[in-house]
Amino acid sequence: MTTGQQRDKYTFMEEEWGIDGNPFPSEAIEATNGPYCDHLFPEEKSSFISHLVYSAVMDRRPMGFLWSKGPGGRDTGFGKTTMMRNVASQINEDWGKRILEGAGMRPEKVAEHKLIAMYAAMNTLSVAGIYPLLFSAVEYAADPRYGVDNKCLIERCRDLILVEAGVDPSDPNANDFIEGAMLNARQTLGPTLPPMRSDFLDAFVAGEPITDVLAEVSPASRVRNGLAYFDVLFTIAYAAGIHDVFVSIDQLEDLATRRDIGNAKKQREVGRFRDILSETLHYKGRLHAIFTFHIRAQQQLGWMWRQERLPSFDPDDPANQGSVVVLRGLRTVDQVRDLLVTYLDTRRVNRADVGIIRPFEPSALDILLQRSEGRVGILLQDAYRILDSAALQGHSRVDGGYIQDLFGGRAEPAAQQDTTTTESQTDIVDRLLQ
Amino acid sequence: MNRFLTDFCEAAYLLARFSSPQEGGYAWQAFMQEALHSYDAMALQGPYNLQLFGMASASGARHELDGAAGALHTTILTEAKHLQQGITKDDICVFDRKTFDYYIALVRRHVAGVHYRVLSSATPVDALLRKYAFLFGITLVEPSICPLPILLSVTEKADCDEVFPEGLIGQFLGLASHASAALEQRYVQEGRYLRFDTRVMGEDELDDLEFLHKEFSECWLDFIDRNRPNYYEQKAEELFTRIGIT
Repeated sequence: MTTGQQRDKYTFMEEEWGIDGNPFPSEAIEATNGPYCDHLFPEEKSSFISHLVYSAVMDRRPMGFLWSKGPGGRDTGFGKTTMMRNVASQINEDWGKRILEGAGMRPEKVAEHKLIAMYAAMNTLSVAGIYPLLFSAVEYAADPRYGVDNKCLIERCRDLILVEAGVDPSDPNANDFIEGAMLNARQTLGPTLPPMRSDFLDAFVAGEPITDVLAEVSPASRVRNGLAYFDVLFTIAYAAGIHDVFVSIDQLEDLATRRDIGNAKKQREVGRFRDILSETLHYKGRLHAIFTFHIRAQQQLGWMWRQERLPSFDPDDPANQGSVVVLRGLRTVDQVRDLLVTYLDTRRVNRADVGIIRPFEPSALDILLQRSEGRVGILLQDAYRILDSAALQGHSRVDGGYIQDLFGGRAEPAAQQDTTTTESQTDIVDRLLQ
Repeated sequence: MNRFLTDFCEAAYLLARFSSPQEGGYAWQAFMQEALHSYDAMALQGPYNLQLFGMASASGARHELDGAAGALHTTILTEAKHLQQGITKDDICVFDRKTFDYYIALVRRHVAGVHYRVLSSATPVDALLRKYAFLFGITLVEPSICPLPILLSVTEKADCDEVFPEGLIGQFLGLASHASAALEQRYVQEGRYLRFDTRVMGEDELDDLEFLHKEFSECWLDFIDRNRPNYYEQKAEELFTRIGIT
């Protein structure tokens, strides 16, 4: 059906489909606050919580691994990041209470454990090692956008220190109490630990926004002093009675595949994972890292990982069941439906339309599943392009036939090896040496 | 980056890293002279001179420099140290003050052009001294780390993100440019006065640059090793042949 060709595409979307814009992401990259469908991967989420959170706390395990392996071992896209962000946010809501209870921890035990979680990702610009990554984790903890009721995690930890001690936050001596609690926590963590960074500590004690302090830190200092900033955060958590700190480390492949970092440096960084997570006495058993892994990172970092005697991340080794979780992507049309609805609902104009897949027809679901091979990121990107084209062309119903016509039976092209790399690299070296 | 300065620093770096001059440092000074000569210097001054190209210092004190070379509008004032214990705080402070004494004389005589200061050491230099050099615009050359002007000339090229961490390039460029500045840029003449910007190179920035210098040097040498193995070894051989080191 072709209607409304004269209409603006957004007017068309609203009038024909009941949405005020295209709800799908144009790129297969997870946005900070993208919608989340809690029941899309129930088994995998349950394994994540049970193996990578609950077991890590109970076994004092420093590392867990989240894999994404779709058909042919390819990355499924979207799943890992979304799940890690969502679990971190759920943990921070109530210091991990609901998560641990849901995983089966006895209530009296739950009361003994408080958790916090941060999310940080390697990237190709500045975060290419564990020190800047830990700085990113501090930024996450200081950012009200990832907090509760616009209160960041660090601020909530400060409140918790006071509440647990029965001190009113408006008490004129509250700052002195916080300072004492921090020094006491530090002393308990290790009597010979180095002093904490004064800029961070002073602002925390005074109850000033930590974001102001972090914004002043230069790019080089984030790399040099990332661990020192994280160490203050860790002490804050300890002072608040939180003895299990989780850091989700995403995009490990950005460390693995960066051309400006030689193997010696990559090896050094992998060695630092061991030094910090397994050998630093006051972190041991209290700091838990969850790494995302997929084939590319495995190929590049696998031998370094083994050389540093870090725990195995092999998803096919049955002995790793307790510390490795594998996301397999979408497998049924029902999952596709749930995913589409989750995004469509974010832009619904009328509440009556919530929960329906309009403009998609049931026949579209299987085609989308096949085309994407179960990869969430690819499917969402396809959905974006389909709605955009349908709105431009004035097609009010999107069925399987329309999608096949639109893409002409073309499968999503697989990323291919760049055969010109060697030649262009030579040119680059020549230019740099001129 | 000034090409003459970069070329000179590369020659000094090759000497510092690959040559084994005789004890006492005199051969080292002679090598430095030859290196200056080999890079098309238009005016040259060797050791034992107590003036700068015939000009006395502002105070009248008779300072000896190991070398000075000029090409177009650029002059390099240099000192070469080949001491077992490396460059000391005294060495760098003396070099700083005597070159400054000459600079005042240059300003009084309204001499045009830019004057860079390069202190070369055949042994590694202490980190605290490196920071002193950054603050006052003295370029240090030593065997264990690639000199700032070489790294700066690479970071100014479009493909530099193939070599260095992209997120740190901007900060490195800013700080390293100050640390490698000519006397005229660090001590800016304003009428009868010289202005020294005390806000530049604060304590944190000196620490940052100390870190970045090592990091960027490592990145560059690693990049060269991966893509052009023996590049600097071959350049050293060519230079040594040219200046007669066997």
